[in-house]
Amino acid sequence: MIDLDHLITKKSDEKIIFQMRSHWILFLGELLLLIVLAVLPIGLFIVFQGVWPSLLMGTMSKPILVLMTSAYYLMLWLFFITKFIDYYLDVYLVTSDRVLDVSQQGMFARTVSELDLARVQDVTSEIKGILRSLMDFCNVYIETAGAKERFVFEDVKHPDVIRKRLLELVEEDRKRQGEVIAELGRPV
Amino acid sequence: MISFPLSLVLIPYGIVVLIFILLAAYSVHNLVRYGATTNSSFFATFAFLAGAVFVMFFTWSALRGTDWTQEVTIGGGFSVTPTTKL
Repeated sequence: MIDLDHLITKKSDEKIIFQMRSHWILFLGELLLLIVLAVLPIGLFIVFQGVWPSLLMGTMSKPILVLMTSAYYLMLWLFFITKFIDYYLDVYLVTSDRVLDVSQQGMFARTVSELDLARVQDVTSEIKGILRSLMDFCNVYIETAGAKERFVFEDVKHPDVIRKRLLELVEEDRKRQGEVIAELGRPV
Repeated sequence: MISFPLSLVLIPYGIVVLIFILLAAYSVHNLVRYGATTNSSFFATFAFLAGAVFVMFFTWSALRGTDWTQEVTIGGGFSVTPTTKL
């Protein structure tokens, strides 16, 4: 589970109920692009071996080509880890008190948005498209009482289950807050 | 005609390696800081570092025995003849 202490100050009775990220199949698409880019120099090597072998074996051209290929693979590897971080550290968290959207953009940008469960007015789940219907993943929209844009859990697994559970948690949180207010208002 | 020692091409490569090391260290730091407790995070960090070591090892073994003192000449001296006509 993601380390929450670096992101928020947890309340003493606050528990993480569930944690989600976008469906892994979306990361798989990026991985396929990476594989194609990784195979490209191998294909070029095979082609050059047939039409221009002296280029690959030359005392000067060989070290230059090796350095270029090495630099290419290092950058590709960096591209892989950046994509992984982008996917893996993009997390939606639901605690007993709030909803958190931790959004990682590339290597250097990160946004953390919070929403109090008691402010949630409406939760909508939608599934669109063949792949999303078959694999049961899509968006969950959370609307609040404020004028702020709605919260979106993008491409999460089982959106219907999440919607139901989220509405239950909102109800529980409202009850708990009502009890606290009643407790405070009681004469001593 | 421009001539320079072959070792000069190591400078841009060195810059690429330096950029790689800095960004890789920052990425691993990000993963460890925010996702250290998961197996996937550990596996990704391990795979990333192992891949980087493999690329560097492959480069080193492919370049063993290279004479870095030889001169590269651009604009006349450097020519390679294709063996097959396209």
